[in-house]
Amino acid sequence: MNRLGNLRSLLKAAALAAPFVLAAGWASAGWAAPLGDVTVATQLDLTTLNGSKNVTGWHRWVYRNLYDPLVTLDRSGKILPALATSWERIDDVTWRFHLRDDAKFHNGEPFTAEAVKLWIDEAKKPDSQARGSLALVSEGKVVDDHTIDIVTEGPVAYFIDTIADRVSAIPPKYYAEVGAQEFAVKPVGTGPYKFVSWRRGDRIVLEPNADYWGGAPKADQLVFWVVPDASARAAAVLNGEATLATAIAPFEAPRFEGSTTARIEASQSGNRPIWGGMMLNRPMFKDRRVREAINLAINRQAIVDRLLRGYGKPMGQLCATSMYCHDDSIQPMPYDPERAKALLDEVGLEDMSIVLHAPQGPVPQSNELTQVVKADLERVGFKVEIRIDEASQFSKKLYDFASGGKDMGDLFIYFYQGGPGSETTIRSLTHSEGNWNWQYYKNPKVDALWDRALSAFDLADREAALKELSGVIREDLPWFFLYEPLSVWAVSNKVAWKARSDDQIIVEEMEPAAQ
Amino acid sequence: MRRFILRRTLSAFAVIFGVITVIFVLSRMIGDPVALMIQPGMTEADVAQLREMWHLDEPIVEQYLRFIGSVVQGDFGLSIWQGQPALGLVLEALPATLLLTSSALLFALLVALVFGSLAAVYRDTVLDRGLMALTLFGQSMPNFWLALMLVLIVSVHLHFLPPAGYGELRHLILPALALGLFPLARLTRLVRSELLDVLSQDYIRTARSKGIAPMMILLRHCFRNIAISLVTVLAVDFGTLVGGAVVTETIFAWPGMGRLMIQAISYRDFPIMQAGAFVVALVVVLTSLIADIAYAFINPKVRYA
Repeated sequence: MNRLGNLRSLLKAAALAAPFVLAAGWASAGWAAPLGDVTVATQLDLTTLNGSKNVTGWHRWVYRNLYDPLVTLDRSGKILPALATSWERIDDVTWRFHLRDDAKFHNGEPFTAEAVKLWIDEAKKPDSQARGSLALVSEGKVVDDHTIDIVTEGPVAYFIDTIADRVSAIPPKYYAEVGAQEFAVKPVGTGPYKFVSWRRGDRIVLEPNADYWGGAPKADQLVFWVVPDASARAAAVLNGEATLATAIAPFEAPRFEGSTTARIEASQSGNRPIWGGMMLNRPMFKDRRVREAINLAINRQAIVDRLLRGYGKPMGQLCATSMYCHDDSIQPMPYDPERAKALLDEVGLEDMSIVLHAPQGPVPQSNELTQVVKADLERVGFKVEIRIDEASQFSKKLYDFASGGKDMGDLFIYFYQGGPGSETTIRSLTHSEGNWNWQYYKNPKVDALWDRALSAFDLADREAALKELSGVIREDLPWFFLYEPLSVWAVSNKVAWKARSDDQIIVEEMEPAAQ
Repeated sequence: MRRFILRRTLSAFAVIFGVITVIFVLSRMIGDPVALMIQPGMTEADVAQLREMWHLDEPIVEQYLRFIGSVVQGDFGLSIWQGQPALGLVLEALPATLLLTSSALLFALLVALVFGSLAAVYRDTVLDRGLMALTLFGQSMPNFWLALMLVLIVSVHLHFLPPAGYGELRHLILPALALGLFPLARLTRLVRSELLDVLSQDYIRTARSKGIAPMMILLRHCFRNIAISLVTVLAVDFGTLVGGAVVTETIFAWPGMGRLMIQAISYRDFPIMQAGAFVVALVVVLTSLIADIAYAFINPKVRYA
């Protein structure tokens, strides 16, 4: 009797528990709720929705989901096919891309080689903010409906890297119909999400494209919401109003400790390295020992720890971690004020006064940063005057090549847009004829290595040339290296998502969080 | 009346013309949009081509004549960065700003009438002192700090209202509150001092002695007499806020004129700056015109003068 009673209660318990067990099984088997609406709170609105006209990071967040790139990157920075299924090099300057035949535009227009060519043509026009990304491209040539040749100005061995996520397609028929001005507010792409509406300064709304060649998109709706204030962005995610927020200031991070609704995710590398330039056309910097002393005087780790609350990496070379030209074997620059002092004593500069120049805006926390660098430099004997300029004033002085940058400070702090495939930027900065060579740096060895890297079609050769280049620059010290700030994101606990090394937001990589 | 309208229209034209001229000259002095557009691989010829595209290579007088020539045709040109008609972009942002500004001022006015009356009627009591202390607090508190505190307390901790956004009534409440607090404090003080003045007048004593209910005296006799100064202050505040609610707009992600203008200034987007200055000047001129007309309605003396 007793036994029977036990059995009965056991059965009862089992019956009661069954739905829970089942539910748990579903959740773990990936039967979790769909992604639902995804809202990304960003710091800036777009200037145009015409993807061919701008390639800055915050534009590409939208473009990546609205258009499809010709080729894209995986999480580690390796090239992946997208609209192009395969490619080959025909000769030193010609790259042939074979295109998908199952993709079509949101308005039903078929995706063809013409559409890629139109993108390239539009991106190279003077009104385009994307010209820099195609600086090495001379033209696109349609071979047939699903084959296009892209021709470069000279040999560019790392060409594919430079166009990853930066070249896509726009529908020729629709574009001719509505014109460039209208297309910029009513775009049509081939991507997983279709354009719905854009209220400027507020939000861009996209909806899933059911006919997407890559399968049905995951989100019911995708919204890019402009929230200019960093702490408001953090609040929006903590509050459940946004799924993801970009550019969270490091000092906001503690707000997420102990939160059950949201968390902080940081990237492993920084795509907007902060670096220091020296006006090498001034006599003071002719002596390498002065350049070395400046490099040794700066306590990068302290800057990263205090100004960035640890969300950064001290640098010892010009290329950031996620770039091909980065050489892992090069250590960050040591901090050695004693040695710096000794070097300066050896040189015996007559005048130790120096002007440290930085722009407000492009360099985050430029006020605090210049103060810290000033203190570091003064500790080894320099007399430092700080000059902070508004961004456009600063760049005007920077680009004043005619006068040799006479209005620039002796030292300046600036950023560059790094990330995978941005070797072109580094070349512009360091090649003696580069149009970003604001420091008037001239090293025949560096120029020769760039030439070698550009024509080294074998990846191993190329990497060797680029790393050698990084080594030469480290030896020569034309810069004072600073740090790469990591990208800090706020993420809702409703989703699983990890920051990528290229800072891209690909909604299809998002998963509903396991409950 | 016709002469009044004619005179006002002429002076309005003069003001607007003056404002856009000043903005034109100032914008050319603060820098060069092309300096922010230079990308890797661009040659000097490319840069020159960009300058040419926006006529920035021409002498400033020539640029100005070209600008005025198109403005009289209602054309403020295309935004340098966005490639869209500048006036259109400004007009797109205007409704959001007008909505926020008028809500903030309406809130400020209604509450100020209540607070100010209470303080005046109960002069020198604890209530009066308390309200005056509050207005001091309201006037001395920085706008951005108040806005951030509102977000932190009302949105993040209480989950009562969204921290930022635009489009629904619940999005309007916090920014209107943050923006309205300063005018509220100022208006409360104004209502109080003006009321104290009016309350000591003979006609109020007469009204009282006739046995009219205190509430009626306040509504029919007092408010009408203080309305002129209220309208004056409100009109000035309205003009200021239309172009200058940048901080509130930024914190609450409100897609208004202030943010558009600040961005235009930092990117040296001259056409937007010019169109924006034009629209703000127009709003200010119209507001003061409405205020003048309101004076005539409120005070018969103005009408018959």
